[in-house]
Amino acid sequence: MTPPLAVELREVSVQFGSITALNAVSIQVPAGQKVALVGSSGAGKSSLLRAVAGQVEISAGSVHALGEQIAELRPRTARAVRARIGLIAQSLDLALPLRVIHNVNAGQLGCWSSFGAFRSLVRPATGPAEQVLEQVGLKDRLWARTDELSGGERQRVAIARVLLQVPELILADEPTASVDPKLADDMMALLCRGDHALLVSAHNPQLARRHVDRLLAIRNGTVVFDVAASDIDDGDLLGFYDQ
Amino acid sequence: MASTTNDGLPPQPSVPLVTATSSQAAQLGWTSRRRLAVATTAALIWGFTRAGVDNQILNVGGWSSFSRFWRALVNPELAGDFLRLTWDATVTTLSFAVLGSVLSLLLGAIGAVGLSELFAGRGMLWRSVRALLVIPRAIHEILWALLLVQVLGFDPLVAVLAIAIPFGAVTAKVFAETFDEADRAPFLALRASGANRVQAFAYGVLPSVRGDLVSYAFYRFECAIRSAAVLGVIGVGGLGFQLDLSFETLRYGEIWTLIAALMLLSGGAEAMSTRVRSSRSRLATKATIGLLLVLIPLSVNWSGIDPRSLWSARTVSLARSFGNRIFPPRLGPDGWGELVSASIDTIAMSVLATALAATMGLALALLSRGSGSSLRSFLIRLCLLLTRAVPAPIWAFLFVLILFPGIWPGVVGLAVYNIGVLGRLFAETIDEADDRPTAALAAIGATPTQRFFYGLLPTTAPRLLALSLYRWEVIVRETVVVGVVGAGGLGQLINEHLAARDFAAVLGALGAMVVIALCLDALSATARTALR
Repeated sequence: MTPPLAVELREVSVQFGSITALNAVSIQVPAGQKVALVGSSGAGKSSLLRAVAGQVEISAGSVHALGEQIAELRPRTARAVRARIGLIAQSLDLALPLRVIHNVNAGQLGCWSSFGAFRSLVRPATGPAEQVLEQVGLKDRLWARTDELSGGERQRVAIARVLLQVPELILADEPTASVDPKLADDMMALLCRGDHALLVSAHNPQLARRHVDRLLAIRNGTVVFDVAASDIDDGDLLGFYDQ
Repeated sequence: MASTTNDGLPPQPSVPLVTATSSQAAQLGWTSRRRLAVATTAALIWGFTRAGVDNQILNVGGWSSFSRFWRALVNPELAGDFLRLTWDATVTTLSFAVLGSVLSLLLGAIGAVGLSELFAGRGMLWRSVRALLVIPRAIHEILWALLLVQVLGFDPLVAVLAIAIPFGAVTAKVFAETFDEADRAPFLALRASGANRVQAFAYGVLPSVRGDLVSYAFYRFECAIRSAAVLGVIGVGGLGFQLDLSFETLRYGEIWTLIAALMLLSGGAEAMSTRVRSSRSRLATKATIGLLLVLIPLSVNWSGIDPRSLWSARTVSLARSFGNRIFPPRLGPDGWGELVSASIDTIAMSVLATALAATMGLALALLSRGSGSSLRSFLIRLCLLLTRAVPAPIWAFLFVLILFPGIWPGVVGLAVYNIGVLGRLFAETIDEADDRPTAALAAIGATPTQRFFYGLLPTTAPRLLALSLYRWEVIVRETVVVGVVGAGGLGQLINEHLAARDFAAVLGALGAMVVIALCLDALSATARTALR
């Protein structure tokens, strides 16, 4: 029996005005698989992630995430599916004036009632948030305001939010872009630990290769190679960037 | 609320797993904001107590007039004569606004030179100009008009000066701050190579701040239109005057015609000012400025303004006798009790009106951007334009019909007017807010309410509160506007003293107004720092 797919793109195109960001891309990511997207900036990695998350409109093809076409679902059902998808965006998307604890707890909003969400702002449960912040090494910043944190620390808060959410699929856009190499390695290991599927765009493909199962290289909106991480070495990767 | 004890004891058991250090950190970080929240709540409770909350507020007897007013909305007066009258009144209001804002810009530019560190340094001149400019700013246009009427009679100059004096003072402050905040390196470099202050200013500072000055000037013009309309209410002519007449004779159809004219005038000025402020096209800006320059001689001609009446024999003798009778300031016939009570009413009115306007303004701003519906958005924006185009005293007149006399009609009148002002500012703030946090929450399944509390509100709340606090400073001054139509507070007291020609008591009450305005400015500034 084939395992269920976490992500399935069929002939997906994304158009921004006259610019083609994705051109008839088809990929399949089985449940639990960890996949890195590599390619130079502007190649279409972010567009692919945003298409899976339902954040951009696709101009052709179909996107299934966790077996569902989110764009076609009714709001209530869509919400239930979205709650199972974790997101770490390039711009981090944290509410900066909020305290770290609330930004981390926001990972659970998809499962909370509106009242519960409001109550948590007044009297948050600290235990779970503290636990995930400890994993990213930020336990002591639980009560700090997010805008007081450095870029790297904010990125770790975004990762902590996803860890708290315990999703079945994580979409991460350059999650380690502004942390030092040692920390980036730890973060990547953290993101790859667990049963969820992972689709991560990586600014450092050598680093990503050490942690993921599979590499997808994208250039000019199309997939140019798709290999198991064990079948490629750093030299091959450098060759790809030189082309 | 979480524990506010600082004795280091473990917090209440309902917060699981929290450690002592983190709860302390929470307390430290929250202190200033929490204090602000407590102070705001206390102020509101106090305001409600002062205004009185019981079944003696709503006057059901006035309901039929109130509803007749709204029903007349679909039946405005469109007779040829009245339309001509409306047109004349519109042009009069426009000409007051044009002349008032042009004069205020001239005064502001001159004052800014005295206020800017570039020219005045931080010496005696700077200090004394600064201290002097506080007074015209603290006194609302309508009070200036009431005072000027005593000397000039119902001359159109009254309207122009009543706008130009307070606006000139605030423009001077803003222009000076703009000069002082500009990059000083070019100025200093030119000074070092032998240019005098004026030359160095013209070549080193002016080019970089010109855009800001033009944009502020247009904002002032927009405000001047609204002020010119309010001034009409005390009798100097224009749309406000006609509105007042139609209201007193209960001709509701006429009122809606006049309101439509006000909305067109106000909306037009706002649209022009918004375009100039957001436009990068120098040409469009120049064309608009050219148009306004043409409007200056036309306005002089239309309003029949003659500056010579400023130094006519009659004016000089009236000014002299007014001057003799206004000094020294003293208490009114009822002494301190009356003054203190009116001052407290003024403060309570400003607190309640600001809270009401901010709450409603936020609700409307949020509704106006809700998903998709552009018709709803348009209607709400039209509604906001309506509330700010109609002068606050007219709203107060309307609500006097269904609210018993006291400070509530004034509160509601001020609030309705300011819902339009704040609603527009809030909508702009929300439109300009970073929407990525909200979009990210949507992507993981947060409901609209959750997105509001975890995304939009935290990112915009400091700005929204700061805008409300700034507006509170304005509303404190505006309380006199509804006061002169009988809604209580210092405005009513001043109007009573004026009617009794007790000018020394007028000056005493004006002094109280200045003191209150300055104290509340300081309070608002403290609150705004707590928000950072």
